[in-house]
Amino acid sequence: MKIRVNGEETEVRLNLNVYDLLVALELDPVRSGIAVAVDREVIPKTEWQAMELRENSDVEIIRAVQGG
Amino acid sequence: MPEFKLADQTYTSRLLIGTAGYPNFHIMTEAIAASGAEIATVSMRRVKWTDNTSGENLFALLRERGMTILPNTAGCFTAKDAILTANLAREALETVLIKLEVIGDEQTLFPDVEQLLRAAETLVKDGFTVLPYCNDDPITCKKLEDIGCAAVMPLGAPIGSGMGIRNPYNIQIIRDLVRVPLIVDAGVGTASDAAIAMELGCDGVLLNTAVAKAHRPVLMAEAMKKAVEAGRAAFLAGRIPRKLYATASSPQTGMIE
Repeated sequence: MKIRVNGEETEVRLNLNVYDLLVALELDPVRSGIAVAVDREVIPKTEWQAMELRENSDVEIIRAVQGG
Repeated sequence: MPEFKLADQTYTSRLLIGTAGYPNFHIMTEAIAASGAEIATVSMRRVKWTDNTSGENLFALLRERGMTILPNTAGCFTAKDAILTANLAREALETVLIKLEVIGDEQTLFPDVEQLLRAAETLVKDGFTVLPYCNDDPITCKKLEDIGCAAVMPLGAPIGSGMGIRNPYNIQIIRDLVRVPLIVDAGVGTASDAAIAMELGCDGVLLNTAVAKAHRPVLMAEAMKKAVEAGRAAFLAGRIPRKLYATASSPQTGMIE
């Protein structure tokens, strides 16, 4: 199925959850410092495994960067 | 000197520092150390696959140094985006602190007051400790305080402009009007600007570009530290009234004839 990850269209397997998406993107889900929103809704870390993505899900993965 | 209380935390330093725009990571860490700041701002941005370690490094580094991390909502032009960014920051950085920025115009980076107030209201209700970047407008500051913001952070001048405190009289009025901590955020260009903000009675100064883009950032960070301390001391000491004509400071009697 197709989803959007940080604005880019991405092909992933059906029923992929947020946790597995992060693993597939080589982002260590156990590490602190990142947050995920699906369709503009923040998904708490504790729900990453339970949260299954759907066709056209819009995923944002963010982290802290240098800022003023 | 009395400590600085912000959102139930007590700090020794009244200087808040940004982490953006330094020549490199090493100079940034040296400058932050030289500034004595205990609160550092960060931005929230999309993870890039090519470079997904720098964010973690920054977060880890600031944490290791025992600094309070203050995420901002820089780059948000609507209350909706700022609220989402704040929620992402809370989740990623495990903090309820948020430096709320809702920008109204790309060229001036002035705040959109209407959207700012709306976002502040929602975020306060949602349990955030909201530190809003706002105009140097006493009425806006008062409204932000009434909403429940933990501080007000009026700009001294546009972000990154280095124009200093363009309207000291408004800052003075804001000081009289609000009881929450007053922090000048943006506009500081050099040490004397920071000192002026503190002499006006501000509780703190938040700056970034003035240090990051200085010819020698670490030295400027040290200068800012001293300026904030000196300005605060001068405010507490109380300046003498301005007079047009001289008053001799040496004795007027017993002179040779």
